[in-house]
Parts: sequence; structure tokens; C-alpha cells
Amino acid sequence: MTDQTFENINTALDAVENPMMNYNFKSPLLSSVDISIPVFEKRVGETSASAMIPTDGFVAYQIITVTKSKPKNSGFELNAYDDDEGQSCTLEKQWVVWRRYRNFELLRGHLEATYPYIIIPPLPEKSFSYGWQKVSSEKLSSDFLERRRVSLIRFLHHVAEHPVLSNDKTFLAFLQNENWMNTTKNMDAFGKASQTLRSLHASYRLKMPDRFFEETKCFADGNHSVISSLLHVRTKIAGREFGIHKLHANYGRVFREMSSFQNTASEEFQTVARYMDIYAAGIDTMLEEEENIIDKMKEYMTYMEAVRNVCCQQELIQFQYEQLESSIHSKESQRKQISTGDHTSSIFLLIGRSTMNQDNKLQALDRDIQQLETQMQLLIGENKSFKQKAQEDIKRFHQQKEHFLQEAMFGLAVHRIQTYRKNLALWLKLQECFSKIQ
Amino acid sequence: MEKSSENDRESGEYSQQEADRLSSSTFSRDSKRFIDPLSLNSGNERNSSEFQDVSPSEGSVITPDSSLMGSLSLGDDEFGLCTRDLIVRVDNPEKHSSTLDSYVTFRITTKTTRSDFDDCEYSVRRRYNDFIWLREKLEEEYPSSIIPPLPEKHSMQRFQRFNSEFLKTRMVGLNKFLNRVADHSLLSHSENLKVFLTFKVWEFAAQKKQNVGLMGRVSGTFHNLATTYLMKSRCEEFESLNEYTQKLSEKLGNLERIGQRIQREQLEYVNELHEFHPIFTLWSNSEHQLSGALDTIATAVEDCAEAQKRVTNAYDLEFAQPLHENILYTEAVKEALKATRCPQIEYELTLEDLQKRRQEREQLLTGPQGYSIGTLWGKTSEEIKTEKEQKLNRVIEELVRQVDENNHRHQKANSELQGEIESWQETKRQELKQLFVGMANRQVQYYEKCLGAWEATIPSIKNITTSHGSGDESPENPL
Repeated sequence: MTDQTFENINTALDAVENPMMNYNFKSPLLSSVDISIPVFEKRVGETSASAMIPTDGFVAYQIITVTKSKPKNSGFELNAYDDDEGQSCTLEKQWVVWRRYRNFELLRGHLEATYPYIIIPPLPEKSFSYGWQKVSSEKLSSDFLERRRVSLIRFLHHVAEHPVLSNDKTFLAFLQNENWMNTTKNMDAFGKASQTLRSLHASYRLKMPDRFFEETKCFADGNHSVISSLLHVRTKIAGREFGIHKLHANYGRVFREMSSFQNTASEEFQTVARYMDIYAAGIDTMLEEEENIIDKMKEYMTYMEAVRNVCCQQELIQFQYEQLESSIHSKESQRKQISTGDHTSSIFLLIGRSTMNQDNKLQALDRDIQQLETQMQLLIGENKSFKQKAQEDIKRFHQQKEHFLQEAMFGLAVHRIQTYRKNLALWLKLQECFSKIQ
Repeated sequence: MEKSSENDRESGEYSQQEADRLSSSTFSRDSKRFIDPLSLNSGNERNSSEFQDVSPSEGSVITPDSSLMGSLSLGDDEFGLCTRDLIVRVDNPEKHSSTLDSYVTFRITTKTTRSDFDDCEYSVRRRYNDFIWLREKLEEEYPSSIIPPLPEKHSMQRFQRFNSEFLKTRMVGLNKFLNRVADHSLLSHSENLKVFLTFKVWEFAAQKKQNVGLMGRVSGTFHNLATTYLMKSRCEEFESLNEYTQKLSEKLGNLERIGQRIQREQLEYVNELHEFHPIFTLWSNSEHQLSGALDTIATAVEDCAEAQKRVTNAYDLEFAQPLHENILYTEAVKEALKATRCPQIEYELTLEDLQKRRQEREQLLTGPQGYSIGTLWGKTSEEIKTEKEQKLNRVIEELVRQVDENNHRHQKANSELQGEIESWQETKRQELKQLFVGMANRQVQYYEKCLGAWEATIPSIKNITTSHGSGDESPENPL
């Protein structure tokens, strides 16, 4: 993420020095602003649509968008949608809005509906859980909210650094002002999106599936299941590690008790007890920290779903195309039958249609075929542009993901190493302690 | 009786270790240095052919078992093997099925240079119950000694009586028991021990039927007395020792239970890690640029699983068993403490008695003589008084002697026990220390391995060249 920012700024700076150079005005938003969600607040909501549900609390997240300090005359413009006053952006400008999770969902739904060829970044899940702790994580516990806050920032960043998505008017409005929902007709897009999703899961039998998208879909599905089983096993492992560490606290307790009547080693036992307690307590922070990395895995897994969606969209188009094709075929064959006066179609003779009717029929068919062919042309065009844009985005995704996963793996390895180092040091001390016993 | 022989290879295996144990047994009062009974010196090679034992004719003299001697000569020289004049070994479990019941017997081999033994070598077969008999007899004979503990009667894990793992553990425990007895300066001279080691089956059975002990270690009457009697001269040291052994045994029991729970969790952990690493391998198949890194992560997880396995493998032998032994030994010490109260109680009772009699005499001399049966015989009150006085004097004399004797006895018992307790304390400390140090060592090794495994993943993760092509994008290393 960071490198892309630098890249863009460099491009911009270059442009300043070499105004002749062509540069893309539509560079991603993230290059010119910082988006953050510094706080969240619990609020009591307005009565929801259905009167049955009483006013419930919800959480609002504060989004602050600040322009990055940049040299003057950089030529950057914050994209089209300014605030209501129509002011053009000055250098240090800040927008503060409050949004709740539901708003994010709507935004995402809009993006999904508007850009079916783009892999839309995922939102955090509706509810997290620490799988191994039997603590019932209420929806609104502060740890959970913290994790969600972090994930929402990531979502906004992903959108803001996307060359296409970051220019979306609704998105910009989302960041800036209150009536963002009016900027799009796709507001019931949330409903639409889930509908299309459902239909997407039905598989189509395509006569000529596109190889690239087939492969990508396989990739997405495979990865999704791999990561989902990874997360599942990891939860078991985390629970196990938790248990093992906590059991050692019992050792601590016993050693403490022993130190009270075992005079020769009383001090050593006390120290042992202390270390055991530290060992047992350490697992809590360790697992919490690891959760952040695991969240990245979850994000990746959800990304796979988005990838799959894109592929399915393409299939939909392809399917429609093939359907059209077959309709055209059947209509054409009908036409042939009629025009060549096929005697096997004796029905007409029986009913005693006149040639007049035949002509009408032919004309109707011709019109139909014409219509269908125009449709098909449109569809072919749509397909082509869809494929092109989608392929581009998928390639971009692959590039991004490598970096993303590298970070995640690195984070995981580093974290494990740090933890093991800590534990090793602890047990070395314990070893020393035990050897000192007379 | 049918016999089904156990796996001879197993007894061959066992004896390799046991031979070493024979040469480094403990709890002899003469030993200056503690030697861990579990230390496994590199043993000598053994042929299982020695144990192609088929029909041990009871009490037969076995041909000089070269392996026995051989193993001994390889043992610790500074321990002064030549001073050991009684060497025993338990091995070769065999199952016997009869119509009524089936049980396992063990072969007991004895070699001795003692003069009070008729022969220098013996081989007999005994079963677990026979060991119980021996131990009870020893308790009776030497109430103020700590009698080594026997292995558990029932396995905690509900093993079958004939399960080979269980039998092996039992055999090892019995061997240890017998060796400790044989090395004990007092216990090894017990007549009962001699009977146990030398008598043929039918002789032994007969012996067992005789003197069915009415005198348990703490016999019935004394037992009651012991619980209700408040010792006048409350021996502080005794009290605190009692309390100490009680608490110790409790805490060691706690440690045992905790250890078991941790062991169970760790075993599951290993399994789950083995579920985990194949997933990374699978994943690496579908990601091209990342497959190297993912593979190294898979290897790291696998290595961690192996490291954990090593810990769990060592648990039983190096932690659970020694700990359990110590618990049993602490129980044995408790029993010894309880038993030592008997001489003390006896002493105090007789002392009390003496005092009562003395009081009586006082009364007699000073007080008037009331009516008594003697008047029927026409004796004068004077005569009756003198008679009584004389009787009392005799009783008092007797009592004084007894008190002296009892006092002497109980002092001796106490000091003996003191000695044994001191040596037990020392050994127990060392053993427990070893146990814990071992546990810490294993954990240290485990974490070292895990650390190494994950550190190995860093280079491949850093080397991921993204399709961007810029390899200098490797993330910052906060290490």
C-alpha cells in the first residue's frame, strides 16, 4: 500500500517538473488523503423501520479524511465531488463523518452492483468470536469493536487505493457528507446484490466457458476452502495452546503452597510459582495479537468470495450470450422452415393459412431475429469490456495479494518467533531456579 | 496349570536397563552418595537367549548367570560392589491360568555370599500377593523403619491385569522394591526376606498360612489407642514431621494430576499440529509466488509438532513415574511415623501404670486398712497390709524394669527412624529436583526447536518476489 502511494506522488511530482508528461488525473484517492477511523461511539438509535424492534444501541464510527500535505501546484485535484458549498479543495482540508456498520454494508452493496467486474474489498464479519474461549462475545464488546474498527479502516483503504473504485461518487460522498445515499439509485442494491449472489451460486452449463475465468474461479474456490480449513484447525490449536498454558498456573499454585512448608527450597519455589504464573498469563496477549494476523487471513478468504463473484458475473453474461445465440438459432431455423415451405409443417396447411399469414410470420420472425441480434451485439460488447476490465482487476489483485500475504506470513512468523523467544527465556529461568534447589 | 509365556524379548529389554539399576540402587544407609535409580547407564548387550527359560523348577540352582555378574562388573565401582552380599532381581513375568483363577508370577533370582544362606544362588517364582505378604511381614518386624513401597495394586488407567505395559511397569517396581530391601542394612537380614527368596512354592505357601499376623503394623488395640490417645510428652519433631509428610504427599499428588492433564492436552496438540501443516502444503500448490514460503511454514509447523512429541514421549518415564514413586515413598514414611508411635505409647502407658501403682503404695502405707476378703481367712489387718505391700512392690519392680525397657526401645526406634528419615529427605530432594530440572530442560529444548523452525521460514518469506518484480519490498524486520 505504502509503495503505491509513493509511486503516485512521484508520478505527480514528475508531472510538476515535466508538465508535458501525461499523467493520469484519476490516481487513486489514497494518494492524496489519509483516511482513518480514530474512534467509535455507542449510541442509541432511532426507531428502526419495523416498530417491533425497540430502539437499540448501535455503534457509530467516526471517519476522518484529511488531505495529505503536498507541495503547492502539484496539479492534484481532489476528485469531482466537492462538498456542498462547491468550494474547490484547499490544501489542508478535513472531513469528519459518522457511519455505522449498516452504512458500510450499503456502500459495499452499491459498489458490487455498480462494478460487477471489480473485486470489491470485503467488510469485516458481522460477528467475531474467539473460538476457543467460551466467553460469549457479545456483539458490542470492546475487543470485538476494536477489531472491527481496524477492519473497516482496511476496507476504506482498499477502496480508496483502487483506481476505479476510488472515483466512485457514492464512495466520495460517503466520506464527506450526510446525504451520500442519494447519490445512487443502487441503494436497495444491498438487496439486489444478495439476490444476484444467490443466483450466482447456481452453476451454469456454458458451452464455451472462458478459460481464464474458469481457472480464476477454481483458484478462488480452492483457496477459500483451504483457508477456511486453516482457520478452523487454527482455532482448535489456539484453544489447545490456551489450555496448556493455563494449566501451568496450577503448577504455580502448588509450588507456592509447597514453599510454605518446604523450608529448604522455599524461596526457589516462590520464584518458580511466579514464573509459572507469567507463563500462564502470557498466552492471553499472545493469542490476541495473533488474532490480528488471523483477521488478515479471513480477509483474504473473503476476498476469494469477491473474486468468485466476478467470475460468476462473467459467466452470467456468457450464459446470456449463449442463450441469445440459441434463441437466434431456433428463430432462424423456424424462419427457414416457413420460407422454404416445409411440408412437414402440415399444421399450417390444415389451418389453411394463406401465404399472407406466412409473410407476416416471416416478417415477425425477421424482426425478432433483428432484435435478438442487436441484443447480442450489445452483449458481445459488454462481455468484451467486462472481460477486459475484470482481467485487469484480477491481475491487479494477484499482484496486491502477494504483497499482502507476504506481510501476513511475515507477521505470523515474527510473532511466533517473539513468543517462542519469550517462552524460552522463561523456561531458562525456571531451569535455573530448579537447579538451585538444595 | 497352563503357562503362556510372555514375550521374552520384552524381558530381555527390561533386563538391560534393570541390570544397570541393580548396580545403582539406593536407600542403603551406607551409601554416601545418592544415585538416581532411574539413571540409565548405557547397558550391556543382552541375549534374550538367556531367558529362553521354559520350566523353572522351583528352587533350582541356576547355572552361574554370566550376564548377571557381567552387568554388575560394569556398574559403578565407587559404590563398592564387593560389599554387596545379597543381590536380587525380579524378571520374567509369566501368566498362569488354572481352573479357579489366573495370575502372573515373576522370577526372583538371588545371589548371595552370606553365611546364613544355605546356598549362594536361588531362583523362585512369586506373585504380586506374595510381595504384599513380605512387605506386611517387614512392617511387623521393623516397625520403626521405612519399608520401601510396592508398585500400585491397580493401574490408574484401567489396564488389564495381563496387559504387557502394566506388567512391565509392575515388574520394574517390584524389582526396585526388592533391591531396596536387600540393600537396607536392617531389612535385608529379615528372616521373612530369606523365606521369600529361598523357599520353594509349597514351602512358601505353608509358611504363609502360619502365623497369620494378628499383629499388624499397628495392631487393632494399639491402633485404637493411637487415634484416641493424646501423648503426654508430645514430641514436637514427630508432629511436625507428620504434618510435613501429609502435606508433601498431598502436593505431590496435585503435581501428578496437573502433569497428567497437561500431558493429555499436549498429546492432542501434537495431533492438531499434524492436521495443520498439510493445509499449508495444499495452499502452496495453488499460489505460485508464495509456494516456497508456504512450504517452509508447513515444515516449521511439522517440526514444532515433532518437538512437542518428544516432550510427551519423555513424560511418563522421566516425570510421571518418578513422581509417583516419591508419592508412594512418602506414604511409606507416613506409615513408619505412625508405627513409631507404638513403642512410644507403650512406654507412656507403662509409665502411667507405674505411677498409679506407686500412688497405690503410698495410699497403702499411709492409709488405714479397710475391710477385705483376707479377713475371712482370719488374717490380721496388718498381715493383709504387708501382703499387699509386698505384692505391690513386686509389681512396681516389674513395671520399673518394663518402663526402662520400653523407654530404651522407643528411644532406639526414634533414633533409627530419624536416621532413615534423614536419608529419605536427602534422596527425595535430589529426586524431585532431578524431576523438575528434567521438565524444564525438556521445555527449553522444545522452545529452542520451535524457535529454530520458525526462524527458518523468514528467509523464504523475505524472498517472495512479487510480480511487481521489486524484491526490495521485503517488510521491515522488527527483530
